[in-house]
Amino acid sequence: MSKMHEITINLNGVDRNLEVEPRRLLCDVLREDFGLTGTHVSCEIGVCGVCTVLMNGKTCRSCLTFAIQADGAEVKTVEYMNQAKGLNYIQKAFHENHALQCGYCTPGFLIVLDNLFTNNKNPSDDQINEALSDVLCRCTGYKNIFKAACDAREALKQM
Amino acid sequence: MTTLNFGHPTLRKEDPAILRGEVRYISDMNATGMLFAKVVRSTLAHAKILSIDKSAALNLDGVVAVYIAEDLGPSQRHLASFGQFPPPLLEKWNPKIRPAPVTTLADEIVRYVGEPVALVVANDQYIAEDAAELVSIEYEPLTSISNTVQALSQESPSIHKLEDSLNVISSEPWRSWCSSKEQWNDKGEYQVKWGHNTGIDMRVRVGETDKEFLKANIIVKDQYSSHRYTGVPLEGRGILAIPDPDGEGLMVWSSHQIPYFHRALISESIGISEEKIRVSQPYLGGGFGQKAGIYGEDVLIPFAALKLNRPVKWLEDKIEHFQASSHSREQVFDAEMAFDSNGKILGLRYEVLIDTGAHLTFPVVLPYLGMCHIFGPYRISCMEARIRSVFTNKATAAPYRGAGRPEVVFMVNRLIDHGAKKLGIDPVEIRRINLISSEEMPYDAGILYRDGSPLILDSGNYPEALEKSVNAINYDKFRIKQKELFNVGRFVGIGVACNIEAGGLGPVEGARVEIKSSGDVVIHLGVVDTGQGHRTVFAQICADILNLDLDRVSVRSGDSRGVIYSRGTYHSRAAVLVGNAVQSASLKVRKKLLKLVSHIFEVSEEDLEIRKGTIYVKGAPDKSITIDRCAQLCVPDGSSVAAAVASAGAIVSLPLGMEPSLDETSFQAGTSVVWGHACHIATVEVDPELGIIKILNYVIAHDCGKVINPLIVHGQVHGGIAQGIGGTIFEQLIYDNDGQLLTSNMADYMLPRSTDIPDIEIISLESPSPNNPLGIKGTGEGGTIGPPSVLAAAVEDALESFGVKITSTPLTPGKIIDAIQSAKQ
Amino acid sequence: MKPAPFEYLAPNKLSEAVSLLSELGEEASIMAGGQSLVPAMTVRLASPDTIIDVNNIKELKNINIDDQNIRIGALVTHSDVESSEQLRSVLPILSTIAKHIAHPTIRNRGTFGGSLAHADPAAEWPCVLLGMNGSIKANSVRGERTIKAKDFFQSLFSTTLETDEILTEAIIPLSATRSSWVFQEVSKQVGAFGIVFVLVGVLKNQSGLVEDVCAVLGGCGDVPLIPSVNQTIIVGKIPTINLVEQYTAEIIRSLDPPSDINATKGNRIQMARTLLMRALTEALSL
Repeated sequence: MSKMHEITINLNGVDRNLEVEPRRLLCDVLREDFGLTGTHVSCEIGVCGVCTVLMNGKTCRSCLTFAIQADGAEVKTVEYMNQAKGLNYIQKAFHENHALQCGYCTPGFLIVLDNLFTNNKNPSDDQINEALSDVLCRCTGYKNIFKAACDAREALKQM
Repeated sequence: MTTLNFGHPTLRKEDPAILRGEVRYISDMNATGMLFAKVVRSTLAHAKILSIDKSAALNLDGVVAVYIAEDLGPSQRHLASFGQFPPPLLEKWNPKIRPAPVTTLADEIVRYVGEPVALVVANDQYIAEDAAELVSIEYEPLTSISNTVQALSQESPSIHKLEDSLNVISSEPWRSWCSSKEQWNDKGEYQVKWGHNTGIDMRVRVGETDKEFLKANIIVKDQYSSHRYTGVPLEGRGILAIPDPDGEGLMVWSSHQIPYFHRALISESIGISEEKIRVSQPYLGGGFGQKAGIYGEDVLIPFAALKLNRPVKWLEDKIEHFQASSHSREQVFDAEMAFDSNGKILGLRYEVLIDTGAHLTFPVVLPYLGMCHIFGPYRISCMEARIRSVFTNKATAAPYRGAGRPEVVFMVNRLIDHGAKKLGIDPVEIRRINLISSEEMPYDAGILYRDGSPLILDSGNYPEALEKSVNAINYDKFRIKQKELFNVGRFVGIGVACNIEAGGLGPVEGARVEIKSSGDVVIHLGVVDTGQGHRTVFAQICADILNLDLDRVSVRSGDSRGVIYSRGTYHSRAAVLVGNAVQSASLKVRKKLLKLVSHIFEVSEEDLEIRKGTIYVKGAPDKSITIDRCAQLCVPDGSSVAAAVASAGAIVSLPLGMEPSLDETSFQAGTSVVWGHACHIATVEVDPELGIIKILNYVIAHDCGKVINPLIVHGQVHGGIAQGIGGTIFEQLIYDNDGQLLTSNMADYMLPRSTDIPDIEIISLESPSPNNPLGIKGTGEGGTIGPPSVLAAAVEDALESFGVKITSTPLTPGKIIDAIQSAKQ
Repeated sequence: MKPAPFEYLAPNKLSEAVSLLSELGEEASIMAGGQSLVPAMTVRLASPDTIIDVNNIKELKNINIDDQNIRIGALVTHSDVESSEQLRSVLPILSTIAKHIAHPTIRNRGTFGGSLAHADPAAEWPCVLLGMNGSIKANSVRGERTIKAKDFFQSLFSTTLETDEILTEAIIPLSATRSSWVFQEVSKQVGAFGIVFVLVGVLKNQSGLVEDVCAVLGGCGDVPLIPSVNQTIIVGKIPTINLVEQYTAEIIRSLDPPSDINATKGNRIQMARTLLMRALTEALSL
């Protein structure tokens, strides 16, 4: 059994302490130790993107990150964008465009789009497509997700 | 009754909770004290297990148990298959069937890389993985068989021994399932010496093909093949089995499309009665058929939980998914089609070898169900086929969204395109000549369908689908543009393919509609929602009948306590059967409500109407009562009734003979399947030097009968086409000659991304089915059926000047480059 | 799939890192972005006893351009390269190539140095370094040395880095910025590893004569290839399609690419020929 390390992660705005074995992946720590099951796990090798979270303001595959590497970092999971009630502007656009079916990939798309709009309040269609190419979906065929992203872009302009 | 909801693109009720990350999938389900399981799998494709040493694994701190076949007692057994030939088909066709079911764990022989050999149970997932590596298995390698041709050769070893098959077939239900006359001799002995490594061998014929072929003006003859690929739902399979407090029963959460069958398997394998087992579904991250397979884990995990008297959780990882969850689509057709001089199809003959992998788990589906899709939308009244499912040392093939339809449709559409070419007829024109017209509906194809009932196409306007999609893509204009682009060295092409789609397979599905004393309506279902919006569409139907807001109606599905019996989610059947069952049960509840209210107000039921959750006496607006209130009066829920009665200031009695409760169940029998159809048209540009394909436009004219929710239907079509495109261009399961799977992760097995799927124009047609009250047809699988045919046609058309012929998938860059090279020679 | 157990160290200084590596030797792996290392560990193809995470060593994150060289610190991410104005102003092809690497999120963590040290035959930066006559800087307790790209890439996933060395910097001579560079690849999907790719750099003088030409091929062998062909086919001449065809033919003759699940040898030869023709034609503005 390897040496345990004490780490502190600023998780969705709150400092959380934890003792971890180095090999524990960030996705598992988020989901199991912190109960944040919004982040999902699928391919486990960084290809599909459903595990994507934000680390220090950049998108990051939590299945390719050891929790110990998040020591001292600011990590945001999909739960951070939840309003007290109801849906935020991206979630609403997804709902209105039927941009989710089984929902398993949805957290990945929400995170990459949130990140896109944070850095660029008016991305072009190409920039939206580039962001979307980061995450795999097996149910929707993607077009509704693109439409939702475009609607979110419009909604952001009004906010 | 209203149609406030039915037919509307209602937004999904389940979305907000999913978007907020508040729902749970199987990996999010936990139980106190739960243990984690890891399956140890075969690393060889075909081998004898000489010994298994568990000691190092058991010695690892945190490991609780390691099970191998001999530890399972009677739970080590053959697992029942799904999708058997029904008696009418056995009677009519006498298929030879060699049972080769899956066993809980591999026993003496492993037959594919990834086959489960042992189960490790530990305190956490990481330790379980460490321990799995420490289980030491000694194998004696046997020659492995990597393709069907090799399998059929007498020089190859038998993947399933004769004695094993005889053993299986000596008991029920196998004996009944494999009871065709040809298999049993006069002494009642089962004949197994009819085919080497062959699981199914059958011949089908309709009409007199020999006569028709003699009349032919041209015959197209070639080999057409579909490659091996699979569903890859983003969420893998998973099970959490929790022993009941009484130590005997089980609560099983699983990511599973056929939960009642899962329950039956557990019951039979572990030896406890079904009523002691509850199987329920959390949210599912996709299914596509891979979660409706027959798997040892389905029994193994519950076994471990009961044996250890602790909850046990197992999650399939992606390598396991690729190696051991069911594969599909690998079929090779040697086919010929006869045409007259006008391009009319006179007959079809083919032989197909279906690579079924190591086991046979759905005997009738890939061989027979696929074949049935020959009989429309083109008029093919004369055919003859020899269909064989052949064993190889690869993962078991079972239905994947489309379930045999795409492969057969590929063969038929390619034959038609090649016939058109030979005759110098345009591919759209030859289809006009051959499509069954709407005047011919219902159209009796002269053969039995997979369920044993006559194959009768119920309704549909196939020529309309063709014309509308041809117009939408501007076919004639495209042909002009095609020439212009060719002149500047660019290669674009167009392809068209038509298909039918059977949906609504029986035998039955049920729905229970219940109004609680609070006035909330709950629909209980057995089918499983893998993302198709059941929680909304079925609520829509009920909300219309009870004239309630959609928020008041919730759907609980996939729970074995939901309805007495359910078959599950597959064969595009939920909307058809469950939709009608919900309708019927809701009507029963409505009737009872009206009877109650007519009694309260002393009017006849015809004088009542329901609007927005309130029942009114027509013309007397002060005489009304809410459904909530009716529920308080009628539903025996202690405090509510007392409160209602107390506040009413009077005792209200129910009509004579009416029992309390507003709780009705209905079952819809699928006595005859329903037939949707589609026409796919697509344009592509091909870079002939690099073999790269770009899809320019994709149109589908699609008919799935009456539509409950067009938003959902379009989503299904879009998603299905995306999987079809993925399967045709990007995805391929590749084994090497030693049976090692070279594509066992999501990097090597390439799934399509947002940048790969074009915008798809969907033209919606609606020809209601006369076969069920709501006129619904199935839609879940349709999108996957067309792409292989239409893309092969479009690519071939783009490369016409090279004389290329596309007769197989996938359409990889290498294949296109090679096709051009060989055409040059 | 879960990684096997390991000890974790995260030194803040380069001197600490090389010291640890010297102590631990082959039992330890250096982790930069982890986008190749971690998946290998998850499927247990790699199970180092110790991970030395070098991400805290700030000096490895710099991009510097002096009067001789472009110096890219080992920890500069693909995203950094993609968006660096500094680099774009002198060598815009780097930004173009960066866009072909995997997907945006992977690019946020994957590093220039990591990619070079990993030496995946399907990776782009090794090709770039080779084509631009670059070098890498390697540090150890024994000091610092510079290894030319052509002496660095040995075989697939294998470089001449010693077990106790850490790749700290990639160096591209400024002379590379004088050439016109074109990158082309064959891939079924944006971001996937290219089946075959080429990087072509040409330098023309004022009169339009070709002064220098370089073609590097990826996906055609265990390492990126600069086929040794007769440069005078094109160098010293006014370029024409004909000459480009001849030059390409020479290169193709020297190739012996592998067959694998993505393409056969014959496919790769065809792809290489096509890409070279197109890239050279574009680079030479023909």
